Amino acid sequence: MIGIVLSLGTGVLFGFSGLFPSAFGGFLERWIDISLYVLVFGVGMELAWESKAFEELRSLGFRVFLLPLAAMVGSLLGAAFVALCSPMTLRECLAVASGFGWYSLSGVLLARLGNPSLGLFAFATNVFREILALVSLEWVYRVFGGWAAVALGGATSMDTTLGVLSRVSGGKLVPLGVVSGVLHSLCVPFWVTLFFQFL
Amino acid sequence: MWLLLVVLALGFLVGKLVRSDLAKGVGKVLSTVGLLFLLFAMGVRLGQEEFLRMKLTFFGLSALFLAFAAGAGAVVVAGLVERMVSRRKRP
Repeated sequence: MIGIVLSLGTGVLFGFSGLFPSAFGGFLERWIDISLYVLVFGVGMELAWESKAFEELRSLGFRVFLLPLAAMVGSLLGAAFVALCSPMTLRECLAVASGFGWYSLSGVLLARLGNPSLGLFAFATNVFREILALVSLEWVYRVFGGWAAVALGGATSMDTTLGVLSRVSGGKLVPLGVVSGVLHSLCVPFWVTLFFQFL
Repeated sequence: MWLLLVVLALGFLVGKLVRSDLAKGVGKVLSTVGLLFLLFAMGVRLGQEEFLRMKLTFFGLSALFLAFAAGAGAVVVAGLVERMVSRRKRP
């Protein structure tokens, strides 16, 4: 947990202060990709001897799809609550929240659909969702349980939050995280477009 | 997304080819190093986002509120569904 906050915080300070030259943008993108692959490869290796993880997946059967479904419904209910007590419309809140933490795609999608400022807002909201998940996942796992921890990660539970999920659960939640993350990611373009264009 | 799943499967296969303690040890080191480097790089990218810095004061609090509400909603509903599923699993 301390390592997570320190790494992220140091990175933000480096970026903000200009200590990391922005001319190295291409290098940074490659750095992110390679780190992500190393992380996921390591999680795969740990998972190879983690029989409990697959036992849980097997015992759940088709009920495994209830987790991403519940997480999406919960996210959208949270967004609807925000629409009730803020000047934003229900349509805007639902379209932004249905990025489920995938900030690059949701931001670009909304900008392309014709609302660049809502795209920026979606970008910031989903960045916050990802940071929130990274920082509070361990606590959520201890207090609310495994499904809640996976749900908090949304679409990121198959990439950036997968390492934290693996660490806090001893690998047990990795298959659930992958299933939930893939389903969330597949649904992002559908929900964002649906809420923005047809609501 | 699919490339990530391929890399995950590759890690799984390599892990199966070596002893369990070695796979777990090396896997843990790789995932920890990968995670810390990833978070640092993500932090740098966030810190460099010019437009995010400019707009943060304008819509930062609303974005944080919406992110919190969406995350909290997901946690609560998924937590409740997990309880229902585990109650049904018990004989």
